[in-house]
Amino acid sequence: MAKRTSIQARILTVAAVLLIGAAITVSYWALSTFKSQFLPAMQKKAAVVDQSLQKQLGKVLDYGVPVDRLRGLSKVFEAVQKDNPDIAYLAVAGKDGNVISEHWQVSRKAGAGGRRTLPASDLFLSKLPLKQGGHVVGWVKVGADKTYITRRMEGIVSDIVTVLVVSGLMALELLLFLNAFMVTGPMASIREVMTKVKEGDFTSFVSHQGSDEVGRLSAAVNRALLKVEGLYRNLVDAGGRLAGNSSLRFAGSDGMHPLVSDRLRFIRPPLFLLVFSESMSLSFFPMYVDTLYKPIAGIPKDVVIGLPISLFMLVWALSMPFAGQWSDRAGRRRTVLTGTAITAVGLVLTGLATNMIYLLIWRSLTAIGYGIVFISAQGYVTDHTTPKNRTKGMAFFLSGFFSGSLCGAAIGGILADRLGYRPTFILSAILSVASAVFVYRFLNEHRRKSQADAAPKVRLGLADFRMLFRNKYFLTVTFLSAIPAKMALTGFLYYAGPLYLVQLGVSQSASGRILMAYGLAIVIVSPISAWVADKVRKRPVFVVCGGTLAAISMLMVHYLHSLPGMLAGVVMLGLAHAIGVSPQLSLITDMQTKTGVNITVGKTIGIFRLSERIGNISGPLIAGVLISTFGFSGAFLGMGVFFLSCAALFSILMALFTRIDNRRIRDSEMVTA
Amino acid sequence: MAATSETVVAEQARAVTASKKGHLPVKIGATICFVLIFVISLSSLLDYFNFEKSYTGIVRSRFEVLLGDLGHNVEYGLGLGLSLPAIRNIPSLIDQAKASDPNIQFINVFDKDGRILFDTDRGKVGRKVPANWLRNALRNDKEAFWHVDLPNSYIIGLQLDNSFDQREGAIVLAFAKGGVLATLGQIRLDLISQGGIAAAIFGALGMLLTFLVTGGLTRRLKSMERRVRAATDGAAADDGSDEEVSQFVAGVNAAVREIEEACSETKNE
Repeated sequence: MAKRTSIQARILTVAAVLLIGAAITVSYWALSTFKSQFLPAMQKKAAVVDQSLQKQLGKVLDYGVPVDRLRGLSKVFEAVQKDNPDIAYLAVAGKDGNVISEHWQVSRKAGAGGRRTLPASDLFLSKLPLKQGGHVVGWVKVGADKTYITRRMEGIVSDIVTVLVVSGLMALELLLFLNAFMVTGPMASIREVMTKVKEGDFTSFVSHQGSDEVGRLSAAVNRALLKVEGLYRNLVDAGGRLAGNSSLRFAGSDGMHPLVSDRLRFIRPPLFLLVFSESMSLSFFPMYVDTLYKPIAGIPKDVVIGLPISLFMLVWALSMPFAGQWSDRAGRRRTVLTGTAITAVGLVLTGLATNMIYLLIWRSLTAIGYGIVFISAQGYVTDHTTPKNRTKGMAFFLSGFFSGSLCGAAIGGILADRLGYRPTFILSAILSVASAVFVYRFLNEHRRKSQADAAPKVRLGLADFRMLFRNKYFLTVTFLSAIPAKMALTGFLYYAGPLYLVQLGVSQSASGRILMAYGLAIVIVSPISAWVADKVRKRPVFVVCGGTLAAISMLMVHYLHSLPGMLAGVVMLGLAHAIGVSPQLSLITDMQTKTGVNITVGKTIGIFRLSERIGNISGPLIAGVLISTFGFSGAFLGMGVFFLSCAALFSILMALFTRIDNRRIRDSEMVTA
Repeated sequence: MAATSETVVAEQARAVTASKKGHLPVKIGATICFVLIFVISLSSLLDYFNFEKSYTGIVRSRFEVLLGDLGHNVEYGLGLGLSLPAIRNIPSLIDQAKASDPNIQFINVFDKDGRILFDTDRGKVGRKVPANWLRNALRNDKEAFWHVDLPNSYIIGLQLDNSFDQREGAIVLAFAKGGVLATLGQIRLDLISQGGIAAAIFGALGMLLTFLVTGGLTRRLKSMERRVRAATDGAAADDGSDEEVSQFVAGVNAAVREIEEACSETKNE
């Protein structure tokens, strides 16, 4: 096993090195090509600026002003350089070539005096004569910065990093799946069959097919099994039977059964692709809604723009219980296929929507499809895990979800920037279809043999809701932590964030990259935070930290009011959710045990998940109202203060409830003693 | 169960004999190549878009300098109290500017009603400009330049105000896209060929490294397969180098012996 892991790690390392190497090489070559085309254009530009200055100064000289008495040249030069950042040097020189006045472009790399000089080799120098009365009295010089294109292309570093993060995650998904499909899965089956044969069990065979080394080994093993089974059948046909004390076991009339291992990983690629496709519109969706906006009497524009996101969340939440029951009956493969198909159709129609009503309908359709896939994929994980490894399975599911989400946001932003909103929706639909193709090709039904391994079915009743909504811990965690967290996610990240970035003049690509930072923070920090929270076991502290960090993230965006501020806010929100969200559920179940609430964990989870969707739905609407009333800055301040109040109230109430309950427990123990 | 053991085994046998050249490192290497092509394509695309933006910007700014000078001259006349149609030197100014660069298609000046007052193509004088040009010209937020992208031309416009900051009209310069598009086309070709070379180099490297990394695994798998086949065919005794295989071979051999003994007993009976 250790050797296999090592091979997997080595393959991933090879892939990572090659990906980084290829991206850097391609960009380096591209820069050389660009320079060859860009520099002549810069040279022409420098000549035009020179001619312009020559004309301007020529007019002044025509009034008889001597060239060494020209005033206000630095202001003229500054104005020229403000409009032309590629012009690094401007100067007026006397007839003899001695500089009378010169001006260098001040850049970030400027020295202490704010002056920056470039070696002559880095300048395209254009020099034109200044004439007075037909005689040359001086020179005007313009120097274009040859390194300008290099500096411009430095901006692409962030694009390259985005591409590397996205392709790295894609490579990880593909290679891990490939490894499970071609190596670890079949090898586990071969090993299982071999172990069975050692014990005299000839009832199963390896179902893996392929022409590679693993496929040939599978075929060889099966050939051996078939040979033994053939001999046994001949024996039975001849009317013979094995000795009474024989430990050999053979399959009955229905034949040997196939063994397939490591099926859990098969759900990751389609889930990744679907979440990827749906998240592609994350960075521009509010702007897309804006293009279809028509005033609705009495409702502020910002609220109307948030409406499709809220409706999506509502329909998604409502579809899941029904989709879950249908998925249990109809099977995962069928429901995932149906869900991906509905999502693909929904995305195409969203991209083709001509007005707000259609947009709302098509977003609802997409939400239904997305809900079906989401709940069916969760069901698939449950089907292929046991109670022992179910948490790990769910973590595996969630990491696939967030990987897809962050990749989709980044790539969607880049595509929307270049292709526009509608084509990006169409492309995202194509990706959903790819997900469906994957499901059709690889995802097979697997019915559980042992009922003990099955997750208990949860049927929620009103009494369950009543019981939980009377529990002070449940109410505190749900309303002061879970719902605000979801409000921040949909209200800030999905709705206000993209709109605010547009206001800051940020491109769609950059918006996508900034929103990607949230997913990255979650993917990186969440496992570490969950591990620490389990070790330390002070879950309320983590929840309070999460809430406080979420508040700080909003306040950062409010006070910094800039692109770096927004980036810091998004990263901080990712950290807040990575730290504060996962301990919420554990905290509820811990406290439930402490207070003796008689309800199953499954039901608690179901009601908790349903309740927190209030935050998902209300987030964009509340953010819309705040923005229309106070503007972006005021809205972020309002959200920050609200989250901070929730975190403070949460910590006070938790401390109070814990103290009361501890005293109650102590008192009852004393009475018992 | 859809497939019986016989059909699956027969299918496996067919797959193995139909294509004996299937190799695990090739499949893994091909996947790495696929991701490499994705990265190279996306990186090249982003590089290209960035260049396109920078290059178009630098070319456009050259004409903006020219148009800015013209605008200053016209506004100088407006500042002296002249009305736009009364500035007599505009035709010579725009003709001179057009002559300075062969890429300039036309330059015109239109009033706040959108009627062309002066044009390097005299036949256009008196006509109306497109509505979006007029909209840009009459916008309240005075920006330095406004731009319109046409299929064959880039249009740059500059609003013209009098000394009381009242809008009088605008001056517009159109330059041919042909030169810019030709450069961009050349860049696209260069990037495609560079991407192809990079994909070939890194793909080959990927294949090589994959073969090196998975060499041990494939050798082990081949050895296991040989031993299982040999044991099934009764060709040779197992050398015991792999415990799992040895136990499997022993299990198969024991079962075969047991069944054969049972067969002999049945025949004797």
